[in-house]
Amino acid sequence: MRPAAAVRLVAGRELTERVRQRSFRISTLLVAAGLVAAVVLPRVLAGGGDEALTLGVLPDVPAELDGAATAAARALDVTLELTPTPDLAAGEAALRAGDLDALVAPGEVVLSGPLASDDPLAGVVRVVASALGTARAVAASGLDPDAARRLLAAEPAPERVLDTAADEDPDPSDEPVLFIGVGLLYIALLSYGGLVGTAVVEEKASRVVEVLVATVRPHQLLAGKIVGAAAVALLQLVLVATPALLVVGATGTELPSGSAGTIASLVLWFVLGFAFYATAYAASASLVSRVEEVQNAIFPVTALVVVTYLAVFGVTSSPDGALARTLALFPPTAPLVMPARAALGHPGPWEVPLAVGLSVLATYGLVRLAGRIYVGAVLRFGSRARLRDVLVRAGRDRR
Amino acid sequence: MLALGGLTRRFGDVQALDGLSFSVAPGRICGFLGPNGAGKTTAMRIVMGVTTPDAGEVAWRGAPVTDAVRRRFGYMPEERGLYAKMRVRDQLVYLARLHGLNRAEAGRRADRWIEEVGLAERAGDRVLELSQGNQQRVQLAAALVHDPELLVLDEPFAGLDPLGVDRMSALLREGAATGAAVVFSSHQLDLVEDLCDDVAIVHRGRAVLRGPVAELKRRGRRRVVVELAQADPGLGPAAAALAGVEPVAATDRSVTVELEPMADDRQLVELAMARGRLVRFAEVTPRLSELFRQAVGSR
Repeated sequence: MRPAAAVRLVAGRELTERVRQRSFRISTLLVAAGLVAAVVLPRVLAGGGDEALTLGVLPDVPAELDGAATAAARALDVTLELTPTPDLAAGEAALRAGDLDALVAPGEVVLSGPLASDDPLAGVVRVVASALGTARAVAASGLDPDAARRLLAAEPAPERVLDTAADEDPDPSDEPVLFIGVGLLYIALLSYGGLVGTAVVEEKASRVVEVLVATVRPHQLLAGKIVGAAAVALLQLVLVATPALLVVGATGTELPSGSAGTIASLVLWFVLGFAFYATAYAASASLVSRVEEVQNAIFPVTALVVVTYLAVFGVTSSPDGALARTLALFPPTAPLVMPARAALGHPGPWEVPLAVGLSVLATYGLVRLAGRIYVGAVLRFGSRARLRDVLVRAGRDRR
Repeated sequence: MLALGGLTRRFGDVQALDGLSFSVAPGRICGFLGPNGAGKTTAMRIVMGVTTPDAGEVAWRGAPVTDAVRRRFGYMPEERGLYAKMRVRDQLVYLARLHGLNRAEAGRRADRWIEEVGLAERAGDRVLELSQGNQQRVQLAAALVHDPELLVLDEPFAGLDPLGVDRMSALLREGAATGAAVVFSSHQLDLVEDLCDDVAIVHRGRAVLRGPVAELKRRGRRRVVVELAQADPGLGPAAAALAGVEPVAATDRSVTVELEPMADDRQLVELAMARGRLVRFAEVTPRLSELFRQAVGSR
């Protein structure tokens, strides 16, 4: 049997057995339901209430104003309802009662009170008032009614952004994508780290490991565990995200769109980061022989993940500072910090390849080290193995 | 032929193995005996590649054991262990595939061995749902599922009830009959005596006695038991007075003596007949347990 076949066999068992467990199904269902709720609930709760504006319109207001008001509302992402109002007195009464947000008369826009500048209503009112002024000026100029109508219904001129400016300053739309991506990796590292640890200790705890190491080499067993846990993580991410994405697709909600570069960098670092930390979790967990001790054993690794995540926020304020430069290259912190620095700052052309290279190298070294620890610790039952003893023993037992 | 040659292994201050050598032939069952701490488990782990020796080597069919060769060995470790939450059949299929069988063949063998150890109705159960005895059967099936050429079992009879002992014995005999070499450790010497073709007795990391059971029992001086119809406390001392006769055990009516090659056993018969009615005069072979005590006791 080739080594790859052994690793695949171990990983395959890991995946099938984990997926069959009730806890896997329950947690997948719960998280999927939670994500769907997170997508659906804000829309249901908002229900078009806060962001919907109602304008009263008096009969002798030019019809072309409706178009201008609707266009303004769409630009500001609010729903607009235009209510025909018989006369000024009825309109003012409705305004006072709160049934209307504003009243459009032929010569003025009436409000119930002063508006804050960031209130979407202020934006709509500004456009309507300006259109109203134009309409009056056009009427006073004595243009023929057809020309006047075309004038009032004119489309606004398009905007043009200079390409050079876009290159120099990172796309601000990358930021939400970046934080979602880094957050996902952080959650995956924390939750699946425990899984990797448990999977490694499981065999020591049940003592089945002695039969196993008689047929496969310990580092193959270890690699199979890590690949298997990664497959479980990936499968669960897909299962959890799919319903939410389907809901998003069905309801037409817009997701924050990032640039392809940021997304590619996040995917790359997701893979690199998971490989690095899964190996670290496996190595530290293999020091103990009971499942209850796993959390203690992997605590240093968990703490490192948390510190790395916090470091990302320290880096976003000055993505090109010395701290950011260093942490983006340092293998344990790079998986979270480098995507942030790449999206928000200006890394040199050699920095990303160097960070990737260092990360791959560190993971390889860690796999070797973890293999040695595993060999030395795997047949030590009972008390927690001391790292030094294990490495000494591994030197003798390495096959 | 499995050959262990000059194995040594030290754990800290403990010399677990100190030049252990013995061999196990195909088609034969070898009992691996020795007091606790004699090095049996360490030796078996070395054969299975779980531990490495400081010196010495393990050969199978005249060549050093490699990973590929070892995949055709079957192993039942002293520390029993299975995946508790895994179903019986899945578990056996997985282990068979780790031994290099393809999925279809692994499935066939798993089904056959589940049948063989009498667990056909429990094939879909999780291991933790089985009784202790049934878990032992799964453990045995796990060692046998790939029809190994060499079967290494550490204390396979520990914790079995008499019926379990019979079933285990039958399976080991069956394995040897199909040409496998079988080696197992045990403290149940009477059982070993009945079941084994060969024994290797290890003490302080060395083989102190090894060979075919029948031959070992014939080796050494002849033993004869002389029994009278009535009590005769003077029988032993009287026998001791004869040339080349040495009493080794006595009851109030009988004496067991060892005879040197030159001793004349007719003298012994005449002596006994002169002292009373002779009811038994028979050659006896030593029990394995006696050989064991002699081998490990005096050293």
